[in-house]
Amino acid sequence: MSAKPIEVKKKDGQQANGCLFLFGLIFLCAGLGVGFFVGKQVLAGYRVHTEYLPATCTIISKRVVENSDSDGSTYRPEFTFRFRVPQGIEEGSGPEIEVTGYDGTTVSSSGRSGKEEVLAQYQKGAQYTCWYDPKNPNQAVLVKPSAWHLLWLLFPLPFIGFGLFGTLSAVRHWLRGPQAETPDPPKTPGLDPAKAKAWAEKLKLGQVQKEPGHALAWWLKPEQEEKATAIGLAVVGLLWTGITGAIWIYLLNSKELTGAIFLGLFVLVGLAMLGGAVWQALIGWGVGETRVEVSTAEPAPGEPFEVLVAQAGRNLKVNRLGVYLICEEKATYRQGTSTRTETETVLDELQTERSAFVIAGHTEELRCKVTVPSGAMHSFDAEHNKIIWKLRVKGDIERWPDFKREYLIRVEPEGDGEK
Amino acid sequence: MEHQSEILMEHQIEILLDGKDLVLRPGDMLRGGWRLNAAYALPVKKAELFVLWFTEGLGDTDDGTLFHQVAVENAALDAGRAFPFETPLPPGPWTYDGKYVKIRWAVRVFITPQSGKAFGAEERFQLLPRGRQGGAPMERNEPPEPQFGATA
Repeated sequence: MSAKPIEVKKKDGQQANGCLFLFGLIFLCAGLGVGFFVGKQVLAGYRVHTEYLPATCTIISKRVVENSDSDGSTYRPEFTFRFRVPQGIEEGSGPEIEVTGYDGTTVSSSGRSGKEEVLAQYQKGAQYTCWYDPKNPNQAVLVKPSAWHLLWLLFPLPFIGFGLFGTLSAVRHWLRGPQAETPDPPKTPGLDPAKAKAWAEKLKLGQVQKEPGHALAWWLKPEQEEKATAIGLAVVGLLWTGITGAIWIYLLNSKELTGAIFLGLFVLVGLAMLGGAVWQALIGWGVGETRVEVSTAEPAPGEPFEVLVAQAGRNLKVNRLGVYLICEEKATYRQGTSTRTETETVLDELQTERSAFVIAGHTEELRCKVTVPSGAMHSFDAEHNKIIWKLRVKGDIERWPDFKREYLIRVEPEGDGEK
Repeated sequence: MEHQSEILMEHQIEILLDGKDLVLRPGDMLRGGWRLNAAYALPVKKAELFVLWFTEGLGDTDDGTLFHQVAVENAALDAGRAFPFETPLPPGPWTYDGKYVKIRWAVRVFITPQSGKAFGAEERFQLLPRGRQGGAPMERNEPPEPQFGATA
């Protein structure tokens, strides 16, 4: 009998890694390019604020400059004005200089009407204050650029961040060297029977977060804390909404509606994050702690174990509180530059439930015996593939967000005297 | 690929495993052997055997080696020479056949010739606990009666 031939090949991660590097590099270059351009403009604006000196100028002409390309037209106001550089005490005694410009930048944007409104604010032949560069009076502006311009410095940061992450991840992957299909050999060749048990301890069963319990042997820690999630979402949401919102308001003030509509979508994402933070906070602080204790955190299939659920709360009208035994498969895979995880529920079984009761400053307890089905697959926790067992407590609260809290358990391989 | 096929046609790896229907139980001793079926000896950089579990399915591959044996290194691999091996099997991971996660066990032999492309072969077996017939996600029992109880 001949065994099935197998192809000895490199893992396909190499190609995905190349794509990640390429995408990262494109984003990094784009971010740096935009950053350079924006930085130059912002620096020019900063100099106008800190170094330029005032003078009185006369408007000679005004117009809206139009830049057209395949994506459409953008506009900026442009004035030609004359002023005399002050010399000594008396203003306007220096040579007369003619300058064309507006706020020192050459940034143009959509919306012609907004620029025409700017033109309408200045009358030809009338006198206004302008600001000039004392080191080079030929550089002058009619208005100082808005301080909002500084916010544009934030714009390239996500591109640079993503670009750096992509390229550095790819480089790190390359530095680790190519991985062949051939599995890594163990450090000691062969495995004598005495070492078999030690190897078995390295079974990919996963770890359970637990501490000694009060009523039962172990107190299980929840997989995810709503309070931590709320704080995390609030911090990210505030930063996100703050940055995008400030630029959005600036665009609205500048009457650049196309940009404002586009950026408005990003603002909505930030608001959704803040909404999520509020929702999680209502659960985290509004619903009390759900304390789950078990007689064993590493049950074997077919062997019942005790579960105690103690639900705290200040004034909760609970429609339903249920304890479920859950088994899920989780598979993580890389697709292009993104990593995805798919979950399949293998078992979702109600263990005990209580309906219509009030928790008013005390703790309600539910007790039950839970049995992992005999013959069920044990827990498995490899890097990309997992079989997860957990207890889920679901609460349906009247006039309050419902909650779902999960607590990992570790199902051991049953029988064979190896446990 | 064509070159590799030629090599595989020329050199066939034969792996033999001891066990009824190739279903083994945790704690069992996995016994077997392998040999190269060829007309002449093959100079190799390395000829090695692995007993391992690995995942198939949707997720990226995970694997773990239970047993590794280098049979020949920088020498001629004699045609027809048998290389026996044996190793006790651990409690898990069991063979599993879920929707997204699939866990397999196999004996793999890899040969890297002095010249030409490496080639290999595998023989799969199942690691299942006593009483379990296959790798289905679970064999269900009756759910327990819900028990109600609350103390204020």
